[in-house]
Amino acid sequence: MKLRTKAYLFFGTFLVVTAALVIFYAQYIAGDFFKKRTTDDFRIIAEMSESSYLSYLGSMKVRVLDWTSDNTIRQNAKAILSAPPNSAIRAKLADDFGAYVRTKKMPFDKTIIITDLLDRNGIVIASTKPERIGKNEGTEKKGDVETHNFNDAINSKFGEVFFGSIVIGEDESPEPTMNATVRLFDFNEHNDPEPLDAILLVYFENIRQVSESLSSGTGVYVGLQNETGRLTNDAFFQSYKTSEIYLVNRDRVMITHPREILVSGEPHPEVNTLPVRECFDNGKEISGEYDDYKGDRVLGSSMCFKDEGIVIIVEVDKKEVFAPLRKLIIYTIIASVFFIIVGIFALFIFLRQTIKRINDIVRVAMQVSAGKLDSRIGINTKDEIGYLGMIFNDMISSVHEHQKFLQVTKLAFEKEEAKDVAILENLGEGMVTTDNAGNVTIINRAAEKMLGWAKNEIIGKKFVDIVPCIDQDGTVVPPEKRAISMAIDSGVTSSFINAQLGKKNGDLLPIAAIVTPVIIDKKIIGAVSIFRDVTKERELEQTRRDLLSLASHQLRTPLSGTKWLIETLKRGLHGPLTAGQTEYLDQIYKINEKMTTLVHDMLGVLRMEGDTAMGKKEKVDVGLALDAVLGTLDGASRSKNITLSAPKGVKYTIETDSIILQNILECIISNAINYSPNGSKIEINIEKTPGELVFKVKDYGIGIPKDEQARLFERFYRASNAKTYDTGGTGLGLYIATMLAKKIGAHILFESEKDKGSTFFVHVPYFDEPLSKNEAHV
Amino acid sequence: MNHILVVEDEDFLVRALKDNLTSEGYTVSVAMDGEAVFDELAKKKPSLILLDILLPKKNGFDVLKDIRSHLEYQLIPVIVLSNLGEDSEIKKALELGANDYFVKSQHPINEVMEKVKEYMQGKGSMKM
Repeated sequence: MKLRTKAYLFFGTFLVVTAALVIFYAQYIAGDFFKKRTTDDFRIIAEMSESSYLSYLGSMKVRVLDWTSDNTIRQNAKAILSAPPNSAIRAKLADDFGAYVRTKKMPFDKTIIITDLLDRNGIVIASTKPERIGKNEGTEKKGDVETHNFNDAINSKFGEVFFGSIVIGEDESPEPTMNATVRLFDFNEHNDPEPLDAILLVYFENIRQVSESLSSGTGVYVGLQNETGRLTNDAFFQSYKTSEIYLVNRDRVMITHPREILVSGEPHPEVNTLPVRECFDNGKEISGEYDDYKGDRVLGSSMCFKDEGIVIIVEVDKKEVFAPLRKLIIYTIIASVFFIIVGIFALFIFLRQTIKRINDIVRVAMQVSAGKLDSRIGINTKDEIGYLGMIFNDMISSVHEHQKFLQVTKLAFEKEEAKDVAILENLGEGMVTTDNAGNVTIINRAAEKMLGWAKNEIIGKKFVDIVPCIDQDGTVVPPEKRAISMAIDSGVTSSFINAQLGKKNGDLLPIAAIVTPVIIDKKIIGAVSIFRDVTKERELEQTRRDLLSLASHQLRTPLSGTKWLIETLKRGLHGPLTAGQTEYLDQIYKINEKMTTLVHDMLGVLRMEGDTAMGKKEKVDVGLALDAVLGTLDGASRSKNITLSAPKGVKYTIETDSIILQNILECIISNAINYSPNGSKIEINIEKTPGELVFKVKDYGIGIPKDEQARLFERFYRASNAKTYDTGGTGLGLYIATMLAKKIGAHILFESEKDKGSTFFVHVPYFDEPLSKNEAHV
Repeated sequence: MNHILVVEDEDFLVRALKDNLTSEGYTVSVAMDGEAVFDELAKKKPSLILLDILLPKKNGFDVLKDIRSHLEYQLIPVIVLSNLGEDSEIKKALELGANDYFVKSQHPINEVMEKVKEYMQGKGSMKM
């Protein structure tokens, strides 16, 4: 789904939901409030109408009571009652009564249509309509309800008036009529009322007046118009076109017209609505929403006079009440639609720009990913997208720069690599690299030539399987002991000069080699073996040895001849010698001896300088080796009466070349003897330090002058005091000792003070663990 | 039986050895090169042979090898007197059957004489 669609969906949904919420609010929350407020108002109207009605009834009561206090009526009634029935006088009195009321009383109230006088049995004894005389009105019933309250009236006290139900269609009038019954009283000498057995029954045709009283409400609220203006019935009728206030009688028939006076003869609709039922069935008054007599939904309120059989109903068509609310909802919907359209339009405008910018970024990103690194985004807005574009441009620049750099580096690297490959290819020495499984990855031309294997034959194969190795003792080295295996397995670097590799054709190739592990990120990823053919070197070496051997022989021969001849002469085989002759011969002999030593040492130096072989590695018992050296020097120390103190029972065993170690120690100790005065002592000690065994030789001899100490190990160098102290030295002893030390990985140090003595330290490598594990061969 | 054969090509060494040996009462015959050795042996069988290594015509190692493989002479003790002082040479001579080896320049002639006396008196170790 595209960003635009998502945004439309999101904002569209938002707006629709907002509109729905507004409508819901108007419809239900505001609607309920509205309804409650309106029905409360209606309740007040209904109460007010009730008051008007009651007030009107009050005025009727006053009128009827007023008639009972009329002396003529009272006296006339008494006369009728006392006259014998069916007598002429009684008829005459009845006529008088009817005429009096008709002419003197009824004209004051047009709503009174009939006035009857009833005896205690309810029989009409006089009437404004004489034809009614003799009728029994006391038991008149409408349905099962009495039309009049005759029984209440005949037993009532003074001042009580009883109103009957409003009825329609009785014989008295086609119009709805209402009646009032009141008992007549006379007054005695104390002016106290005394009841008569006569009842005045007055019929009113006053629905118009009742309607007026219900619809005006002014009767109650007169003088309070300002405060209650909104609530007067007039206002109510003006506010709502469909507003109605009417009476319903016990027959559930509408008595008064809802808004106007019922036109004579107009049918009275039946009203069996909720308020009517509630009143007559349960005696309750209601306020609320229900269907009216026309079947329309209305809001209304009722006042119930159950006993009188009257319900006052105030109601308004719900549609009209809710019209403003409906208007509000319609306006809200129109506004919502308007805002949705405007919102979407605004969104469209906003998104079009934004999405266009985002699309620009996407387009450039695609170009960049396709390798067009000179693409740039042209957005300059000061918002997040502008910022994004800026950062994106920076990023592309950075990537571009890095790529350039990488290309340059790559070129340089390739160049270097090509150079390296060329160098390796043309290297005079053979080179083979393997991966960490020992399989050949690179073999250069020299190695191919030396071993007789071509690249394609050997690459990918295990070197130690293809090319066998024979050590200096002529033993085939097992694969796991091969230097390459050791380098890969243990990270050991090995170098050696006296092994032989098996060539493809089965010949053996003498080599010197160095094998190194290749370590990247602390992980061994393979091994590199560099080796060279030492056939020529070995031949040269042999030649050199032969030459040296011959030279030493040729030099020694005359020296040994001289020596032996002098010795022979001194033995006196050719006659006795004079003292002078003996002295001369001794001098010549000494010179000859010095010459012999010199030749011996020089030849030793020459031999060692040309000899690249390292010392052997064999287990050497340090105690035994030291004893052998001391044994050799025993004579020399004794001749100078020098005490040699050395540790006894030394238990160290080191892996080194025994002969070389002994030669070094012999050189150091014999120097100590040579340069110590007669009768002094020499202390020898052995100390173990981490990785080394240190032989310490301390003498109390002539010492070495400070400024000459630096040159002590130079060839032929002799300290100034040594030259004069012992003329026999050649200046080669320490030089030879240092050369020997190198062969076994040892080194020699010293500290010395002139005339006080010297201490020489021979540091020999020493490992607690035997080194046999690390022995390695190509 | 106190005859000794000296195989040596240097006159002055022959002279020194001969003087000393004679003075000790031994008779001495001399071979100046390798090939002359067996002629001298044939003339008179010695009780001891002092043998140089570097010799004209045939070197001392070959001479030693031949002596040790010769039925008649193989039991004669041979002391090598040579100025070749390499370990390998000494080792080789001893392997070929030399009874002793002296690097001439490093030993006074008295030492040689003492060794000769040991062999002549039958005390020399016979490393055969």
